[in-house]
Amino acid sequence: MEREFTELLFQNQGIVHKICNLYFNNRVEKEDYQQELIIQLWKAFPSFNKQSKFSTWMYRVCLNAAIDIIRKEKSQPQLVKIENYEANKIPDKDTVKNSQQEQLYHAINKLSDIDKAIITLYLDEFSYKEIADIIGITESNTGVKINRIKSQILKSFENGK
Amino acid sequence: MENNELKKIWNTLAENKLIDSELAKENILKIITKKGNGIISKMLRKSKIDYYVHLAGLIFIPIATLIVHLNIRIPFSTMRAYFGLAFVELFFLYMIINALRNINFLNFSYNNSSIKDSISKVKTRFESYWKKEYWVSLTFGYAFLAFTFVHFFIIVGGFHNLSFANSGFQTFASYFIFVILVFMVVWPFILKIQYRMRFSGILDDVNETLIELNSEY
Repeated sequence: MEREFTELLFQNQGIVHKICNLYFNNRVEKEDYQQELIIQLWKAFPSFNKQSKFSTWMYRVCLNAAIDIIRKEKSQPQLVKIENYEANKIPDKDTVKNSQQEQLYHAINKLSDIDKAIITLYLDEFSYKEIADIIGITESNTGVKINRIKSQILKSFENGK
Repeated sequence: MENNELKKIWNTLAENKLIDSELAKENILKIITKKGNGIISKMLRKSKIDYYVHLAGLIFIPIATLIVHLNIRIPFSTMRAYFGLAFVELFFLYMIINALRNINFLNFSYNNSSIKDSISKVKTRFESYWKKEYWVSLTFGYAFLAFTFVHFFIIVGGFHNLSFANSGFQTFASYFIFVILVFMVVWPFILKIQYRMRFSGILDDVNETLIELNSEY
């Protein structure tokens, strides 16, 4: 089972990186968050029933885990290092800055945890039905929320111009 | 801006900036077999240390007091020893309950459900845990207060001996009995205020998220 999980996670590890960078980019010890997501995926793996795609299941677990970690951190400030936060900047692996990418990143970062999850799934080409299943809302509500978030993002693009 | 354009920017952003250097398979294997380096594990470790330190205090302080007393053979003032110890023990008990609550809260997660379901489950679990904690604290608190009340009442020698006028022990004991009675009345409220102060953040957060999920906007 360990080998199967490692193989599947290795192939889909982009999801862990993406969620980590969207939800925990302002944390100094980002590797700890990345490892936590992997541990949570491993704990949940026995329940993966292979009826859905591994990537869909992975998104569900990672988004849940990310929101859960944020809630747990908020509830236990005495256990979280104060110096564990730094300015909310875009992960900079490229010295050439692309203003459109930065604007999109900052616009997404300003959203609530739930909106962040919805728009990430939408931009990653998940169908409304899949998004609705992962988030736990109706398809029509998903559509409404996506339209609202998109117009919020586009507005911040316009303001950034 | 069109949807496709937004998706194109997203794909470039994700590929160029959001994907960190690749995790090797050996590292993934190491993480899942060691299980101890995640952020929650670190928080859990701190809570467990808190728990054991306070448990040690709870157990060893009465033993140490007893040993010191037996060795030095100080005339044992029942009253002073009883109060000093009782308050120290209550403090440790309170800290242990806190640590246990932290450990419990850090341990539960429902990552397999939909986000809305998992938040609802967290809320239900949290409320049921709080209810248990409330009744345990209420019972222990009342037991302690009742015991103290009876103890003082016997020392004072009944209601007719209560005195709030003089400055001797009788007056101190009378005031103390009065304070205990006040505590008995306000104890449930103290627990509820404590709960609100400590957990309103989490529950507000959970409730706001559920409202956000339920809203049609």
